[in-house]
Amino acid sequence: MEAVNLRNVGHSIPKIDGLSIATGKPAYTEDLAMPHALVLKILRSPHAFAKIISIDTSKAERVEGVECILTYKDVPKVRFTLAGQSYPEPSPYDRMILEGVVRYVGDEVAIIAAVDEKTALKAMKLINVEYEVLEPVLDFEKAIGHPSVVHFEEDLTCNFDIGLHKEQNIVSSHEQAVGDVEKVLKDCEFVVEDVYYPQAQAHAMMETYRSFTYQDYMGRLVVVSSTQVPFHIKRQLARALQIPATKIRVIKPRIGGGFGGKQTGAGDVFAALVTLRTGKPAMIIYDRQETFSCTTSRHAMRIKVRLGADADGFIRAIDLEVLSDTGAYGEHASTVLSCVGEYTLPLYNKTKAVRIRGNAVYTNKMPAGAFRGYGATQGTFALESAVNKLAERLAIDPTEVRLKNISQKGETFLTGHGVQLGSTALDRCIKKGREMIGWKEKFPRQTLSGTKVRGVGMAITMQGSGIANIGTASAEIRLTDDGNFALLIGATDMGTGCDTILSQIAAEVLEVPLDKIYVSAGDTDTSPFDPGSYASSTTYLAGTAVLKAAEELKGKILDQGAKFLGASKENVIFEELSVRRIDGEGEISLAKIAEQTILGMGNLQLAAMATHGSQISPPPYVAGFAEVEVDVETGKVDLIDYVAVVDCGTMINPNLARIQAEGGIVQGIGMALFEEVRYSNLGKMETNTFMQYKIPCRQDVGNVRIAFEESYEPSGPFGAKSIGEVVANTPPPAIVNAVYNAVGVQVHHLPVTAEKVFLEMLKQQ
Amino acid sequence: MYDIRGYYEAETVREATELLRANPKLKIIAGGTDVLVKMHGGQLEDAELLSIRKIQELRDIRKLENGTIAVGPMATFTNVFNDQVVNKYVPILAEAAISMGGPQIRNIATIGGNVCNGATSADSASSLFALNARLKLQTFQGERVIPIQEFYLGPGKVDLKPGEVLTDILIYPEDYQGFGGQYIKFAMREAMDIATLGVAVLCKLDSGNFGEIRIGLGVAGPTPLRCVEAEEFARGKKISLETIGEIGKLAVKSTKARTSWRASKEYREHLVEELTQRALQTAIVRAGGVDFV
Repeated sequence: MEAVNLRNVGHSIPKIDGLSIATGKPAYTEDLAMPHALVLKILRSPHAFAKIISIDTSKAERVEGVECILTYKDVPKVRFTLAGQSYPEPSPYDRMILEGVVRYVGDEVAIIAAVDEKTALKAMKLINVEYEVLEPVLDFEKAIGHPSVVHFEEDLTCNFDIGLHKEQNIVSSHEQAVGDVEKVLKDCEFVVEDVYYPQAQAHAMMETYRSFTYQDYMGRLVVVSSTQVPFHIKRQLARALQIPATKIRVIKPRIGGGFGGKQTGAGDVFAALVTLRTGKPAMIIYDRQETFSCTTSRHAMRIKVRLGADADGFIRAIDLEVLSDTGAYGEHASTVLSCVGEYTLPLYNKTKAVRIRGNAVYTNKMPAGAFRGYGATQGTFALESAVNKLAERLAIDPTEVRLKNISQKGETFLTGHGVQLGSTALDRCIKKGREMIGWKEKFPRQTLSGTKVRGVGMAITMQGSGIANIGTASAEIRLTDDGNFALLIGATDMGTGCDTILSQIAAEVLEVPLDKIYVSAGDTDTSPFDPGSYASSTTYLAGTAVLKAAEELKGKILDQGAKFLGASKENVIFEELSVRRIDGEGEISLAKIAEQTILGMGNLQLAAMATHGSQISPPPYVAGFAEVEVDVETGKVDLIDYVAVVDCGTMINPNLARIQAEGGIVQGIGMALFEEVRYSNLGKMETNTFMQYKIPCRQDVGNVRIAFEESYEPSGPFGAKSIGEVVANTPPPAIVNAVYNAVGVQVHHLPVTAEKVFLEMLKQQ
Repeated sequence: MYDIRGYYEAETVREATELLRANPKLKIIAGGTDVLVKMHGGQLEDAELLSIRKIQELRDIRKLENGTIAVGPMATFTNVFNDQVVNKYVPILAEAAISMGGPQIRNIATIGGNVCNGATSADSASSLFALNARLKLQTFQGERVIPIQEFYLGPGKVDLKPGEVLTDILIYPEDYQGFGGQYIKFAMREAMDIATLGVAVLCKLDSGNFGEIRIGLGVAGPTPLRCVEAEEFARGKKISLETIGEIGKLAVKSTKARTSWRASKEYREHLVEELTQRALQTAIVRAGGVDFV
């Protein structure tokens, strides 16, 4: 459908749930929990790696108000993964609900359920655990071949080969190569080589992880969970608890932010187990420290890059070698690893050979998992930093190097299996961005005074829209008895605004006002299947499913209207909420059609269901530009200006697209400049509060300016592509490059702190 | 979770000291931004709290007839930042106040609470040290006035004796009249952050020479401190970039910086040297001297 003369799509309609949330209506998991629900607390391991020799809960159980205390002796002996991925999951089944081995500081040892938090905490202190402490694997660069094996158990399984070599602490290995990289590199006039270390960033969503469970009158387990993936949680619980999936219902209420974190289960299994054991409602709320140190993070990585270019500045070879730290469990380990190349190598297609190879390794640290950007963020930091370095070697402006080398519409790329690029405005994004930031005047640096130097830097990035050949989404729309529409979706609005934009798409196709549509979403009993909102899928896949369902339903309404009007379908039109004969000889309102079909002798409810998957995953693009000011006496970096120009295809809702972009850029700025992750030498995460783990505040992000250069993606709804993830990727390489251009310091380990910059400057003097 | 066992509210200082005499275990709560955080984190359990929020007289900031500035300990950081007396006579205290936390915290946190919490990173402390502030402490039976330097005993440890309430923060005329100054907070974030280093410098000129300078530092040791050696070196010296550089170097000598997660010892010492010079240069200008920048 073309994006012209649209009434809903392309308009900045306020979020349909915005006012309710902003005014504090009960909307979130905790708001919906029954007041008498048992409160759960988790006793966690103080050791990075240990075996439990004995565990004595008898004293704790005698505390009044304690309902039950569960240990590894009380759980099904089956391994599963918390990764919220479509079956068969590419993550190893490497964890149990509770186990006699603990693999990181914070790993679960016992579940305490009590009448209130105070009682649960009191009981927790009375549990006596004896550990045999083992030598932990803490440095991921030493994990392969380490004398300690993080997962030595025999019953760890994978659904298919992901290159697991557990005796070497390798959870997954990956290699993809097209052409002979070594040979092409040898022939290149210019070769740059460098190594980059993106950190294990925390999602830092406002609402921490939480889950509330109860049994309904039929004995079914109902799980109200702050999750991005209700259907995956249902399947995960069925396996972990060894109960039939038909006995489980997962409901997603409003979510206070996910950023990919809530694509991995956290806490649901514990609450569910307690409810099954006691028959009572139970609630678990992770506090901020647990959220920081006992869930998942971005995968920290070491990425070695080699880039080769010919004398004309064409990039001819790209070689990425990745080591990814998946921590104690392998959620999303293999896929995040492969996505490092998946979402970077197609950027530049003048290449003759490209390669990515690498390993994801187990360590005794908090597991990594899904995080907005999903490997692309890490890969972009490495590749784009190297491209900036190459530009300097070539003595060509970095923006020109990109313009010369990026893939254009209709072209293919080496790892793309011959698929032509359906849409891109990346060239326009680069040109617009450099104009907005004042690149020509400011590149590479301006000296303001003896102590202050400003520099500019840039980077480009891409992501996907859904997962090709795997991602799917279903939607159902019903004409209700009152002449309105029920939109049923499995997509999960976590603050992203998808309930709004999917309604806009339905309203556009059905040609009805937005307020005639209500959304019912995220309930595995009633929603059509959708894996959930992740992998930048929802606008592109769920949006198309909604579009298809709406088109089908509209056809049915026209058919039915024509029948009532005694005309053929070709001779009626839908306008002003009525079906009218073209010859003006009669009309019937939507309300009347609804009434006469559903009620009485109509015996028909008009509804349409559609499912959509895509064989391609069209990339959205961003060109990001940073201007920083460095204090040469202290090394302090202030971000002055950040410009991001986004190609997300057609914007279904420009305001919501803009806030996604602003939020993503700020999250990327945090990764670039502030968010340091530190562990003690015994393997305890030290940055487990917002006091230690600094996310940027409003005054730290300077001027964030977003612009859009729309393209039209033929395979997307109204020409739309994704936006959720791609926006997080450019700040690390752009800001690091701006600092380099200002003071000549190349930071390889994120984040860029004042102390690192200063000490590097000292070394150079 | 706040494990509060008892809660008392005093409306006068007299009432507060009586309650403290009757129950010396009472923990005084002012704005609550430290006490409640400690309780939430389990570092302070089963506490009985004595609130002094209703004692109006403790909120006042005023200039006494003898020229002494008296800052009520219950003045919030917002009060201090906006106060005319503070801005006119001791602006480095206003600079310190605005650097603390964020607007919501500044609206509730008090300067007295900041001092009594005993942290080396207290945003008010560097300035109060440079200003030679005195603390008036009252008990049921009487009162004493001590220099702020003597009040800080160690990390989180202050000389607040059982039964005592801090009732005034006093800055004598000889400690502010004729001085120019600056407070610089160096932190990783522009708001909502604890200082990596706090530097307060006051400077009085004596016809082209340094008359008196005062350097107060936070997070350069277990307690806030003064750089006595540098201060004595400066007295009577000609104002020049060379002298300023030497003062910066000497300031480091008074510090007991250590490596922590916020910064290494080496980097902190570099910051002391650099930021002391910066603050001093501004202080010179504000005292009516030459501008080196």
